Amino acid sequence: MQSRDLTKALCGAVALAVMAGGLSAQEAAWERPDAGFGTPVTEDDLALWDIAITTPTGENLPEGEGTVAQGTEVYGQLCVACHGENAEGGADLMYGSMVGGIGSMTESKRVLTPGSMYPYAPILFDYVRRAMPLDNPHSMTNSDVYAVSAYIYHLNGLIPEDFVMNAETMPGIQMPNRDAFFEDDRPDTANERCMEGCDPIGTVAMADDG
Amino acid sequence: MDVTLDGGRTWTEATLDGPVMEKCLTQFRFRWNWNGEPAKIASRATDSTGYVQPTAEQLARQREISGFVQHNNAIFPWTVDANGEVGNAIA
Repeated sequence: MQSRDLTKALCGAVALAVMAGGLSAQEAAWERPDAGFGTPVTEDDLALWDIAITTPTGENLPEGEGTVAQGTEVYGQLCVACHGENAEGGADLMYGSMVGGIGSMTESKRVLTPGSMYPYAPILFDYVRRAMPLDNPHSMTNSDVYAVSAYIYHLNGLIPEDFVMNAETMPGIQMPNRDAFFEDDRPDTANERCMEGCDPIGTVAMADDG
Repeated sequence: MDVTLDGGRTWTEATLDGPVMEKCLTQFRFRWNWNGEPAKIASRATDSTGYVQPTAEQLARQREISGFVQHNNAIFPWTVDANGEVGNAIA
């Protein structure tokens, strides 16, 4: 997501000012002088929030890099407690394996891992940076995120041990499940906005009833 | 946003809390003087492209989506019984 879109998504005083006849935020201030609190966001501050990666191309992947060896260290410090040795998870741990399952997408018991399921390698960077570790998300350096991503993808057999992960190399990793995704081209629902004399709403069995 | 009190046979437009903009969460209000009778209530959204929120049956038929899964944006009806207890009306 670009910073411009992020600005547009902030519904509130700024948007109201825009609606009030195309004036800039400062100029529109203020038909409502009592409502003009807050300050415009600087580009630098917005950059801290602008962390969405365009995962098919790797656009917006940041500076930094990491190796499998460095990732092994990072994993041991930040990840092993929940994800287990060698990212294998475990019955006594919070989460299942992040390794293996390649080729299992067409089996009725799928094994979902970054290696077996992700169509694009940068997905792991986006996820780890914004959400991990679970008790302190968005705290890792970009290089540590690259490093631990290298570790995980190496365990999944997708990159060699000497691979250096960065913004240039990550998008090029061959992902086994890429071609399994397809556009859902079934037509959408076409409900009508009936107001009177409409069909009553029925009930539908839950998904696991067949 | 429309609201039904009779299980979808009739609908009345509700009031949206402004500002109303695309891709923004928007609250709506609907004033109901409840007469104490059992009722089946639901809300139904229409977006800025004219797309009308589907019923659960329509969504199940068209996309094979039902239950508590992703992409389930179907109308969700609720029952209100005579003592005021609310239950979900999707079997």
